[in-house]
Amino acid sequence: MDDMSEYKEMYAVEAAEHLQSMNEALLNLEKDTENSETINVMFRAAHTLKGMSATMGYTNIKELTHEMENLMDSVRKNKMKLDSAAIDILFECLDTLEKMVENPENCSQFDISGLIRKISLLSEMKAETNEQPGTADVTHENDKSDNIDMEKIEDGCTILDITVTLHESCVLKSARSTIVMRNLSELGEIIETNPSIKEIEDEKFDREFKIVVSTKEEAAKLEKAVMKISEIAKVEIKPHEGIQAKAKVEEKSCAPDSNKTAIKSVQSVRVSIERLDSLMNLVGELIINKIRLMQLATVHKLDVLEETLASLNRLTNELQEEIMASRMVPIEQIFNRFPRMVRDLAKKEGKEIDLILEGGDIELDRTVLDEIGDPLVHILRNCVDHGIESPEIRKQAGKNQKGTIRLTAKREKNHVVIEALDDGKGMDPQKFRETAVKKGILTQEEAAKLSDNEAINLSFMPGFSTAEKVTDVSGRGVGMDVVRTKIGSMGGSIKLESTKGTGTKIILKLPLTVAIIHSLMVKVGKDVYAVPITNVVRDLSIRKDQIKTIKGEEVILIRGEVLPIVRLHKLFGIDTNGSEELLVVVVERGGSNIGLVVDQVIGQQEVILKNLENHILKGVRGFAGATILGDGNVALIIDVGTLL
Amino acid sequence: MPGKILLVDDAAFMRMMLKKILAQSGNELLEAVDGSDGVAKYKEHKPNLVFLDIVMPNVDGIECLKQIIAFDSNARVVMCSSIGQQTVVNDAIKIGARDFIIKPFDAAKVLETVSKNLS
Repeated sequence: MDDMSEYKEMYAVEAAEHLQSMNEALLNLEKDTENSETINVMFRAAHTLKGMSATMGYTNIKELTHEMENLMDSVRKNKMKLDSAAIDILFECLDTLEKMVENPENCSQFDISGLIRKISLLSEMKAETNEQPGTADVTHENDKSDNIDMEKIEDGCTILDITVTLHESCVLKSARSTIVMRNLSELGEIIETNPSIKEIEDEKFDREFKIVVSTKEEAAKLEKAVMKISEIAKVEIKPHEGIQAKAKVEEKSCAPDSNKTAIKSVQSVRVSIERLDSLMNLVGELIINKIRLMQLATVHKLDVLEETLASLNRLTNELQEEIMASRMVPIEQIFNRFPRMVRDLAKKEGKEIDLILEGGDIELDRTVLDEIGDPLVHILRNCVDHGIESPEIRKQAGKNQKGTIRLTAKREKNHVVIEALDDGKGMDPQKFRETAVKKGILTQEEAAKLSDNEAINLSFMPGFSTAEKVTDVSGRGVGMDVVRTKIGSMGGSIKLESTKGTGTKIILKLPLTVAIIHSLMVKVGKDVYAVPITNVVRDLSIRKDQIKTIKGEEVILIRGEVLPIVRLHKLFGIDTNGSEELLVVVVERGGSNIGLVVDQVIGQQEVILKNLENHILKGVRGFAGATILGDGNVALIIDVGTLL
Repeated sequence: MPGKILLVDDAAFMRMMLKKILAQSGNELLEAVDGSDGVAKYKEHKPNLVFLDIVMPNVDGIECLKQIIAFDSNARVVMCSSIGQQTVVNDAIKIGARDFIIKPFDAAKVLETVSKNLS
């Protein structure tokens, strides 16, 4: 086992899983301290993690999990009860474990002695209070073999003294001796042992023990039977001196339990996400090349080629779907960390909160999942910090003292919608208007024009958030522009709905995958751009003279609604043909719509996102990335949220 | 003579460690992810040797051992134990486990166990 490096990754993945299941178990134990199945889950996870860590030589992790395992073992054997103090300590242990597991090589730098002391204090205290007469755990199982009835020996039997010496590296000496005796009892009868069987089982001997056996077999055969066992250093067999005896040897009851039906488990292998990323990328390239081929076939009218390409097309589509499917992970992987987080936050702020999670089985691309973790944490924090009121205030308002946050994921066609709904104090649109004016973001008139919904969506404006802290608007919006930027960069969208006094709802609409973005392709000047379909409301065509100007901003009137428009060619500084007919793509942005004026709408297409984060697009607002088109040209993918 | 060895452990990490060690032994290696899977795989493949973890979800190692022994009283099962589990190991031996090894695994001891139990 000289080369441990290849196991590190696997260790990290499994250790994280065990930490997660311990976290969940603890949260459940907090509600129901006597649920034996949950106690067992906790015990098993600690035990398995201990074993893994010992294998890797991560001593501190091993020791801490060992203490936790012991504690849980006492609990499951009803030697002690879990109270809130014990649960708090276990949570502390988990926090420390999490840190150590993150960088297990350096786990020795953590001081775990305090935690271990706390645990042992806990078990001592409990042991004292629980140790009443009669409850002590005494085993009587093998007492009977201590007193062997001496009777006359069966004919043809010889009595042998067998002295067995265990190897010095042997750890479980009693278990090893039990095997020795079991093997010997298959060849004869054990009359006596020295030390006694009970003492051997309690490991009250050094490395050597003696067994007196009555057998019809040859001494050599017995010797072989013992030497076959692992960790045996030496066996000596001599004819017995002294009394000839025969003993009754206890039989082992091993009544087999009725066969339970075996549960089939799914075969799986672990694949690193990098490998899936590069597979996805390769399929992307393949599709681009396929599109090029198809265009060539059309241009040169090659019917034969087109037939072949049709089946190639089907194959690449299937390949793409399979790879996409293999990248999907249930959203509960990140939902799982929230109960603990909300619990801790609520406890810190003296609030009572029920977090309800729904739709954890909805699957999302791994990359999307990684990206939405932080935004969701942010949103939930806001719910706890500023949404849910303190129990007293809630009582006064005639609400249930306990607030509720409901986090729901559901699948809608090609995207996943995540809603965070709280029954807290909601947002006051008037305060948002006032703050916007105070901050100089809007004029008095502009602010007055905003609908209530538009007003609260101001919280997505960059710079609005800093105003929050000093002016204490309804409290929401700290860093919400960061959240929107993140969601937008994945081709998703975010919306806020709130009613003052009754609560707030934040709706995230996310693509299933970031690698492939379903887009509406448009042309501005000579260039093609992709607008993620999640943002698109509709497209329409207008005449130039329909454009009106209100306060220097161009708008159009559709069905009685004022729709601000943005001419993309102006924004991008590109020449345009200037025809009388204008095409407008209406997109949704932070709860309101805007029209993007383009030269041509090409149609819908799946585009493969090429990550340009580290290249030219880094820090450029308005674009989520780029894609390569079938003809080899590059098209930028518009991020509506940050475009303006 | 190469045989079939079944590794029953819910921790893929532990199975991998064992696999790595046992790869040198030239035996065919099978895996099961918990006790119930272990019993099913035993019945399906009738391995020559089983490495059986004790602490597992669903069906634990002891229960799995009982079911394997009930199915095949000559089954050769090696318990994989941690220090501090002697009572359980003793129970397992009384039920019919042939041998045991201690985690963390020592490659030499694991291989010794295989050669002693497969001969």
